[in-house]
Amino acid sequence: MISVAVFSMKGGTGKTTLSGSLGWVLAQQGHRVLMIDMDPQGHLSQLFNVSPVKGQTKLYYSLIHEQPLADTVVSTSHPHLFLIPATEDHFYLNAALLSKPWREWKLKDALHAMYPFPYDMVIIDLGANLSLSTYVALFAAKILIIPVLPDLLSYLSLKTLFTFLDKTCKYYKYSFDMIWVLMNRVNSHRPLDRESKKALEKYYRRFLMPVVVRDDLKFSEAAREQVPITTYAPQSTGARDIKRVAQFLETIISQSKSPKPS
Amino acid sequence: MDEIYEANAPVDFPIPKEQPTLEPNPAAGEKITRPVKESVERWKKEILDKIQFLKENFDQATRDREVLSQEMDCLKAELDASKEQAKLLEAQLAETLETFNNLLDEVSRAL
Repeated sequence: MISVAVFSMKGGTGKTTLSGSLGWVLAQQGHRVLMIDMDPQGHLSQLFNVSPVKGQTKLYYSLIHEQPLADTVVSTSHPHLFLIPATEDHFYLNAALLSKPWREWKLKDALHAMYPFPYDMVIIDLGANLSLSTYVALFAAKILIIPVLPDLLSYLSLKTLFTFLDKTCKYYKYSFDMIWVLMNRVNSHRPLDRESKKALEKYYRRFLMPVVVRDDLKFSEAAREQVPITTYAPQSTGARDIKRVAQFLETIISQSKSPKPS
Repeated sequence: MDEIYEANAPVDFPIPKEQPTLEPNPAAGEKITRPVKESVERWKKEILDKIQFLKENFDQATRDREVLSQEMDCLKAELDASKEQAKLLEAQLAETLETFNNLLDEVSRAL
């Protein structure tokens, strides 16, 4: 199982848009993708216009009362793309998790309990906050993608996040397989964007994804129409960049799976 | 401006298990081997995708044009029929007016 979390501590960096678009593109390429909306705001669920059907188990009950995670899955308009939507219960998830043993690993355990696992990939969309549910989502992922805007505040936030990740991983004895910093909404015609990119290349070289997502108004237009950008404007800059990111992920995952030369 | 980036450079790094090194550091004397073939293949695929997309758009436009030209023909036929009808009605109107004028003449003569 390949699980990817899309997270940054700074708000508005495009976590939901990127995770939604990536999920859609990977599903288009034939992967069976499960998306999990861990953001209480539920923007990913709204983006795909889905919610649990009446009487269906919600993520909250699956994690707290250990009901099967498979029962929470909702189909989307793409036959290969599935979603565990966010509901209002997400607001109470942190409080309910507090009293549970092994609370940080709840989602990971729930995913592993799905056997045989019917998906090729899991993409988890997180909100821009640090709470217990953030740990729950992060520890269920093996690959972390951190969207970063080309501005100073995003850069500063990245340092805080890396410190947090270092300390948390050491404390919980957890390590991701890969961490990727993905530059989003880049406009190379702006000097500040170039400056920010240069700084990221210098100080986060090992983690910086070699592909960027350029600034494109089509993302907002696609969100308004509640369709992924690759469907709304397949030849747009944004759609092409998202496809490149998906391609990069596929390549890097297949390389890590293949046996290493001795 | 670079100073602010330097002052806030990361100090602590998490250590991912399988993080690949993508680009060797030329400053450290490492040789850069770019995946030329892969890039070319990718560009080729992108170009082919774009051509396919444009071709589909062109085909759709051709189909739309055919449908529109059929609609135009229908409308033209309707217009011609309407013109004929208008001519007929004009003739009828002229005839009626003539009858009416004749009647008026007869009435005035009788008076």
